[in-house]
Amino acid sequence: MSAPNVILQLDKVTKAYGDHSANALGPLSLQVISGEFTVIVGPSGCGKTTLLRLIAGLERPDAGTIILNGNPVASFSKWVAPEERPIGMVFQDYSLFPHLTVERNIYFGLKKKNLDSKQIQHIENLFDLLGLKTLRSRYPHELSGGEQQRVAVARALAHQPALILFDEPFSNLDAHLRPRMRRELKKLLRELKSTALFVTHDQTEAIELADRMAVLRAGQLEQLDTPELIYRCPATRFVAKFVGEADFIRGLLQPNLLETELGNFAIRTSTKLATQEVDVMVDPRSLELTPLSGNISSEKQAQIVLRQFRGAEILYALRLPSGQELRAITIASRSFSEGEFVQVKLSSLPAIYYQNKRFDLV
Amino acid sequence: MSSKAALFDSPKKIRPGFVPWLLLIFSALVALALAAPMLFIVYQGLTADPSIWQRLWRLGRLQTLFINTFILTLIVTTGTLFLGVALAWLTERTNVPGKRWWTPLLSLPLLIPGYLLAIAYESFWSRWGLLAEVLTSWGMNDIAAIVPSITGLLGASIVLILSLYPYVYLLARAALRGVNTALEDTARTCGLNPRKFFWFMTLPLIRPSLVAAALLVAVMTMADYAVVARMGFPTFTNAVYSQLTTRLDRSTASVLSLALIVATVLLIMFQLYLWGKGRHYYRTSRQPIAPEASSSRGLMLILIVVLSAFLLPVGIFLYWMVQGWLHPTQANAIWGTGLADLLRFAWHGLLSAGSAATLALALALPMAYLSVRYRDRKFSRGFAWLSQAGLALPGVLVALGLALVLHRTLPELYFSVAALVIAYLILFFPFAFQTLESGLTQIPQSLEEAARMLRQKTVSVWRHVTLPLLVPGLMTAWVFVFTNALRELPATLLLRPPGFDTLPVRIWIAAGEGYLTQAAPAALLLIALSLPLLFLLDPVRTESKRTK
Repeated sequence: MSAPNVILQLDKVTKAYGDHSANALGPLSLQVISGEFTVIVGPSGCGKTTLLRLIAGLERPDAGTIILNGNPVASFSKWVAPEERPIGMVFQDYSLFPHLTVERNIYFGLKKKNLDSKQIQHIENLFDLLGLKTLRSRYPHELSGGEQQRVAVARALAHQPALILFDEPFSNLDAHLRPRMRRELKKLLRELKSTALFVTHDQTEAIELADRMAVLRAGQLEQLDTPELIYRCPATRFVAKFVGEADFIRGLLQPNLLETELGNFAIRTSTKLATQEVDVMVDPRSLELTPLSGNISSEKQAQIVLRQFRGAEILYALRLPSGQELRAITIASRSFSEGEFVQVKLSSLPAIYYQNKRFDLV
Repeated sequence: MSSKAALFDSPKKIRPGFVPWLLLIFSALVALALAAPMLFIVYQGLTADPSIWQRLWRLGRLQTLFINTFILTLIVTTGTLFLGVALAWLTERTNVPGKRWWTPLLSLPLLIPGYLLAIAYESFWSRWGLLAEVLTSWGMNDIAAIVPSITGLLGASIVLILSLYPYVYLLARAALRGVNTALEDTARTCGLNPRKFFWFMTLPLIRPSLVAAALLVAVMTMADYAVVARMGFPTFTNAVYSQLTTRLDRSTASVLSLALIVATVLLIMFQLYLWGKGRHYYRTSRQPIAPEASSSRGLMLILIVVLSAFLLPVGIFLYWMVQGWLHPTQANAIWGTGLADLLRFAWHGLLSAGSAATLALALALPMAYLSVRYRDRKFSRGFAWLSQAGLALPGVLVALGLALVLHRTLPELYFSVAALVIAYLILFFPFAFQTLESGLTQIPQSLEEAARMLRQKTVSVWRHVTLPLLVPGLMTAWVFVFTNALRELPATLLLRPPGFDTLPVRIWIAAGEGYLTQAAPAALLLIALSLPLLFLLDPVRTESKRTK
């Protein structure tokens, strides 16, 4: 039986579409903990919207079980219609009813006379919290994008759902508005002690919002962890590329030794490994650049092909002797110019990946 | 219990989602019922005694009808294309004086059904016509004696071109607006002179719209019964009509109808092929294009068209109406030109057309919903296609098919208002269906899903979201079916119960007997009742409304 604080549980859920396999999903298992914000992130076509629609009940899984609040809502023996699931959803396009005012959108499906004072207070409180007091009698087309989004959030929260789903909630907003809206939404949902599941393709957004983050690729879960862990210890090469800023170089793994273009590292491995090619993750911030001095071997020198000033930092694109390109980010006090040759050093033992999976060095 | 399923390595298959069986069965029945008359005609035609075919062939009847129908359709289609495109060009791309006024005036002929124009022209031209009379009264006997009469192929062509060109005009105008003007600017900077540029750039760009318009006009020409009857130029519809009324020979009528249906289907396939080939749109934001200087010939053309397609027929009917008031005769009482009589005929029309429109919406709505929201389901599109039979079926043939069906199934319905309503339904259901389909397409499915996520069941979603948003589409569809049914002539002539005359029937019979003073008030009333069409048929107008 699932732990009491698990609000949503997916077990080996699969969904395939007849003609195009692009949005196919699963088999996928996932848990959402009550009170947490879980963010599902992945490139477009990875099946994240399908996953959301399966949870909402707008699509039926081909196989597997979805358990909500301890009750199965989709399994081979049971099906609960979307309108009977205690789930709220904020659609990507907000889907406000264009023929209804803000107030009637938020009260949609609720009859004021059937509500007790507590429920009414809850909804009226939403008007306050989301700053919609003055917009009550407006129609959706008279609202800005941000206002429309707030109405959509209020409408979903009005029914006091056990779980609220967000489908790319910020993708329709201007880029400069997004960080503020993210912070405000997070604050609001925390205040209301809501459990939320977000879907996004924007990794920055995911990292900022998530208590726990699920990285999805081609319908498969690559990693489910806190954003910190995902950022620092990506479980797969794909996660590292997608979430972080990491570059990869080739490495040769030998017993107790890792050979790379940036130097060799002594390692201790638990098993005797045959000579093996691996991918070595290089965090741009872990690279140390120093000016060339005459007696350095040419192996670790690289040419700066591009320099980009980013305020506090400077981003360099480096070309290694093998032709491989790498990025390095350094503090702005130290500066090199384009075309210059520098010495490159990795400040710590890098993570290595074998066949996409992280390979832990003990 | 619940998590047990998860313990198995490969979970059991979940049965696939909801299949809208009720909608599917409903759509199948409606589609079949609407297509039944056509299927019956085809069946009757195919199983008819081969001697009928042989006789028709030997007498040269089939060949004559084929050639007549083909030539008329060709002339009318070409004529409307030239006229429509020229007028659209003049009002959209040149600075012809009074541009703002010409645009609405040029679509006014939509108000006048072809048979009214034919009746008006028949009484106006010829040595004994109204024009000659006026000329004689001014002492110009010589000129009066050479006023030509407009009949036969020439008359039918002129009348049909003048009454059908607005469809081409409106579609061409919308297409010209849709063309990305940056493309035209580019062509000009590449050195194309205006004339070349029209032939090689603009015309190919608006070709898809022109093909659609040509198809519409061609099908309407082939379906026309009244104009060719009035002008004495026999085509298939005429032949079928006379077989039905004077010879009461349904087998021969079916054979002729089958030939017409085959010709129409071939035509539609040919034009769909053309349409598919040239379907390319470049639609982006447009900037106003500098209008070209227009010559006085352009203005002349517009004036002639507005005059001959709208002002002249209306003027003629006004003249006859005033004549009727000034010189009341015994015939007035017989033909019922009093207000009470007019209102009675109008009431018959309102009743039958209103029922047809309401019924069309009720039947079209579930079908359109099925077709739009379950596009991936196998049969939904097939039913949609089948129900469109009325588009290719002339009113005369619908009457024949219905007679065949009712004769075998429900003979007591024949010559009843119900039969009339069913005929309107078959003829105009496609418009209702298409309007609702495009209306539903514009309502995002996510709105319905949002309502479901807010705890609403299907019926409630329909009541609170889908239907309120569909109101404009429903209204358009209703008015469109209603107005067209109100103006319908041949099927009404053939199917109406005794005493149930509508305005078109009254006008037709009175004019046929030469009582134009008695036909005129009804004709003017019918024109006035057609006014809503003007607002519905202008794609430019509806498009601009949508963007607001």
